[in-house]
Amino acid sequence: MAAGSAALALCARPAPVATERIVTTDARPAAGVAELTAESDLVVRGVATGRRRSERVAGVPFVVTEVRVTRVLAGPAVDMVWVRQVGGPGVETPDAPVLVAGHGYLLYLQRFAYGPGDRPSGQYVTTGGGAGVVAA
Amino acid sequence: MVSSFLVRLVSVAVLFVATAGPGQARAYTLEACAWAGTSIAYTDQSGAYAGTTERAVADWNGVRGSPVRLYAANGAALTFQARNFGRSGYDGITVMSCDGAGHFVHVTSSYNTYYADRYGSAARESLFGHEIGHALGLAHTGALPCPVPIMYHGSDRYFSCGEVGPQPDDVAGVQAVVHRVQGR
Repeated sequence: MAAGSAALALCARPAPVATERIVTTDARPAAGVAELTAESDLVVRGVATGRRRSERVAGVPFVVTEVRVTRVLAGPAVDMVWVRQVGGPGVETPDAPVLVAGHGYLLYLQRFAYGPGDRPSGQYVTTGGGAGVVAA
Repeated sequence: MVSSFLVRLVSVAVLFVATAGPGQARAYTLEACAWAGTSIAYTDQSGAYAGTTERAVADWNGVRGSPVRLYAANGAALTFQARNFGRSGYDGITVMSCDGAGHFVHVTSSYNTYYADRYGSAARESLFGHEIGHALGLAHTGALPCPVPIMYHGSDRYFSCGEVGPQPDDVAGVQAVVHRVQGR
């Protein structure tokens, strides 16, 4: 009976869940606010909405989050931007946490493209990786 | 009495500098996950970057004191690749999946060719040596000014400091990873 219970407990133990984690290396680390601003196409304050889409490129998960802009501090007037980040649901991104719906941010942003002659995607990435995202 | 104290103080200081080196206090940080063994297979899918990948692998395999050895194999759980991830702000990306026992299931380390295509050979080698460090279980560490470990988070590890291969602190980190795994 005891052996049966032990076997049952063994079977009932949940299988180890694989967790995914992404570490990123900054192509050009920003030295401070002045440099972050100078290298950004757009600096805004805004709130992440609940709208987001996810995709994988060569096995790397990306998430694109809609941000409602509350104030433009530098760059063209916009009322909404899509911010592209490495990561996605259930993925740990210690270097640059993914924007959370309902939270406010100060964002230093650069236009995203796959190459210099690429058609504008309408998406932005944060300047200097995690340095370009400040919880506000 | 005082001179004896001074001699001991100087001895300790010399020992510290000899052990740590100037500006090289222990800094390594470990990821929560690691490979179960010390012989680690990888599959190279880095294409035009294969030569750089080989040099970065050789840097890790040849560095004094490293307890791990990387070797090429088909279908390995560790993959190296070179892809264009666009202007993401990152020149290297490593994706790790880890099981509940603290062992890697799959790891993929990537050059982002959007940036790396503009780098010279040594800068690419530095970048990929850094990504391999992640694949061996090392996290980011270190801070400017130079010198910095290969696991310093930004590309100025090479462009400001000229670091191409693993430094003593990086090797100490991998030794700590192996020690931790063997202690489980």
